[in-house]
Amino acid sequence: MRDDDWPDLLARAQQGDEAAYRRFLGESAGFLRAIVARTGIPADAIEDVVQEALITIHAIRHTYDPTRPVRPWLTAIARRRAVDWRRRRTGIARNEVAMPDHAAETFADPDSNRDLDRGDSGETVRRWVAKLPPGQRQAVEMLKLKEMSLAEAAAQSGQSITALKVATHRALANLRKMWKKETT
Amino acid sequence: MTTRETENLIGALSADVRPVKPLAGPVSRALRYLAFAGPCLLAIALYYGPSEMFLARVNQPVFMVPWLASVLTGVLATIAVFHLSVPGAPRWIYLLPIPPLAVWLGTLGAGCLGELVAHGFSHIGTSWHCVMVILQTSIPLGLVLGWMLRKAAPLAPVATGAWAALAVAAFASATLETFHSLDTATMILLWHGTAVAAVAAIGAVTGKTALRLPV
Repeated sequence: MRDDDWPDLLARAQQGDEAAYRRFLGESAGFLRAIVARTGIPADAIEDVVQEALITIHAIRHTYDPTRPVRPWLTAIARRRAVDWRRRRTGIARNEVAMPDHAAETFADPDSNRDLDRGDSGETVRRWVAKLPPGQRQAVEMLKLKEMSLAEAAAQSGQSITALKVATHRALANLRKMWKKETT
Repeated sequence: MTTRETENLIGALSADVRPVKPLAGPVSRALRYLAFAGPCLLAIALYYGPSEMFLARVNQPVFMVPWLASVLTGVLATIAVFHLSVPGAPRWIYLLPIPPLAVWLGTLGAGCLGELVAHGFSHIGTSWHCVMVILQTSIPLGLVLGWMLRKAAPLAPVATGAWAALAVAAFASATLETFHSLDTATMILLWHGTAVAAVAAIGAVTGKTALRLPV
């Protein structure tokens, strides 16, 4: 790994050089992995955080000053994403409780309403999704219904990852509005 | 997720690369902001003043030292936030506005203590006008500063928001003093200090949302 090339590669990427950008991201991924591992993120989550750091690098690549060293820039982004991951994790852990052994006596059994719900809620959601604009519909279908990864969805749809994230965000906001409209 | 997925992601990101204009350096962007804010504040100061009390105090270090320190706090906090808005800024940048801020509050605090010993609490009154002017001046200056900072990527939005608000509030306080001088250091510390702290707190709260990363 010749990281003395990185400033030049990233500067060329800022000018739209795809090959330089691919090489920069590929070579810097290992560096990001090492930084994230050093923050104490569990081994099975390191790759998730590295991918989030790569997406952030893509979104804010214009903030890199080619005359300055690239490592502090990369390190700050990787550490920020590690902190965000830990915060999300803490938030999830705070709202989750261990399921007690007698859960079946405590909580309602969702299956008991299966016959009543069948074909209703699923049909309603499909109807709402069909009403969405084409870009938003495609993003929801690929990312939420087919559960594809962002990279897979981007490769299949030809849209950028950022565009897919934005479309999904807007689609969910629209679905929420439709749900509120129908339930009030 | 696996390394294979990371490779796929790198492929997708590379394929999405488009030319981007690199952001100008932090000092250059700070100077651009100061070139906008400076004339605005000077126009306000000239429109309303300067007051006779301010002109009479120009030779009194007890008032001029904290006034100059407040201006310097604004300048250094502005330079600090433009550094903080780019990933990889050294940590000491956070401390840049601290020395003039300490001089500003310290000299006012010392003056305040002397006044309290000499006169007790008899000279303390209210000056909501100061709070309102500092808030009203800080908001438009803060919006422009926030707009410029959003073009970058502050990784610590709360601290960046607080420091940005401190910068504009320090400028607003210094400008206000030129045409609406309060009688005593206690009053300045109480009303200007409270208003500046309130603006910095608002900056920290709004910075969390307004300056967060785009992804």
